[in-house]
Amino acid sequence: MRGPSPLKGAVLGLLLERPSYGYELASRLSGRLGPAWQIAPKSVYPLLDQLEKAGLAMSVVEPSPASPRQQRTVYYPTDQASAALALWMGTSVPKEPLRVELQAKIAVARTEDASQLLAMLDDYERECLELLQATSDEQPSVRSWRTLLMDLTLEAADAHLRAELEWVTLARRRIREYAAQAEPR
Amino acid sequence: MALLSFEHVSKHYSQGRRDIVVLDDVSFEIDSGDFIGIWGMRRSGKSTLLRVAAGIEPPDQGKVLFDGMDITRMSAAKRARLLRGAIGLASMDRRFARNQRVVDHVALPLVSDGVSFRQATLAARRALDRVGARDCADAFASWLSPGEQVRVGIARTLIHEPGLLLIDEPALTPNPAERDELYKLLRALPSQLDTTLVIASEDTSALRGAKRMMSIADGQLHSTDRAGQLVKFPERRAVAAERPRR
Repeated sequence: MRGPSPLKGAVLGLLLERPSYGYELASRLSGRLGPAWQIAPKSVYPLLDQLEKAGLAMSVVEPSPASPRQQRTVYYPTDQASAALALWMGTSVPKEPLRVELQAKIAVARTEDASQLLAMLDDYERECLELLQATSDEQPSVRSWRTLLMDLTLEAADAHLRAELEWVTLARRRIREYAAQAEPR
Repeated sequence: MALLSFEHVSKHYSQGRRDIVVLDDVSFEIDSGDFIGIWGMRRSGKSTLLRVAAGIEPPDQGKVLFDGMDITRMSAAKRARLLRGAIGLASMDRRFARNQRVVDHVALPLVSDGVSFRQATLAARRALDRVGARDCADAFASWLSPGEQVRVGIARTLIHEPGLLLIDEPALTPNPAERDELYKLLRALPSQLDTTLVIASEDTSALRGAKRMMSIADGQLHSTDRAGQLVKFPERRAVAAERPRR
């Protein structure tokens, strides 16, 4: 299973846990990964299509249990799905660049762009704070493999946000210090 | 009316010839029942902000209003009464008498206020229970682990069931599982005690679930409001011209 989105493997994992329809899978995925991933329900459908084309999922149109007149597309894992997930688990994790556009702007900013750079850092800090605010750890206190995995995902999001906030703090301080030294006396 | 508001609060310290600005024109409001998370690195101004909010340190400039009262203009005696009742500040400087029992240490503020020893002890055990430190009640302070000392420090602040509870850096608990459990207990306090909770920490996981998040760096505050939008702060004033006031 190869593809640009790491979420494809995660969706396959969820299907193997329980066959389901797109919206429910998106909710489960969002709940599992946390708000930092900002998963929109519509983003799951292309992944399900890709899984189906790869022969790892099969879609069946079924009546909805809540209102049988309505139909919905339920996805089931195929016989190859389990082996594909195991293979994906074993693949190495690529290093992805962070905050690409912000870094690109920093790379070429001129001294006259310093105030805009500071404003961008403020905006980015606000985004991080909003994500932190949206992060909740309301989960059952029962210790299970599932809650352990959710703990680890939350801790990864925390570690990332903390590092980003520290970076913003230091970057802003250094730009201000430079600007203060460069000011004509 | 906001429970706590800072209006253009500034504070600086002198260190030799250097003038260190710890709070730089800080303005914000906190409503009753809120849970506010303040993130900041070490020496960012978090502790000073909480000490100014509690009335322990006066600002150089600006106003601090608690329940509509300007605590910067209160007499020291009135401020001390406020700190022993309506506002509680738990800072982790851990000043324990080593040969004192934990329950007596926690009960002491009530005993000093003239509450009977029996009643104060009962309240102390309740406060210890709220922070998951019931088992420490009869231990001596010198026996406590760092994590237990943090809990006992918070319990002592809770003894008055303050309307505004300020907690400075609960992250000193070294064991991650213990720390997460403490954070969960702290998050439950606003609903259990009808209190407003402010936690300042460099550990982002201590701030999970806060209704509003702020960050402080070099004395300046940044914030999101409840809807995730930036709070519109009043225009910054030129503070340098008016400072310092002695």
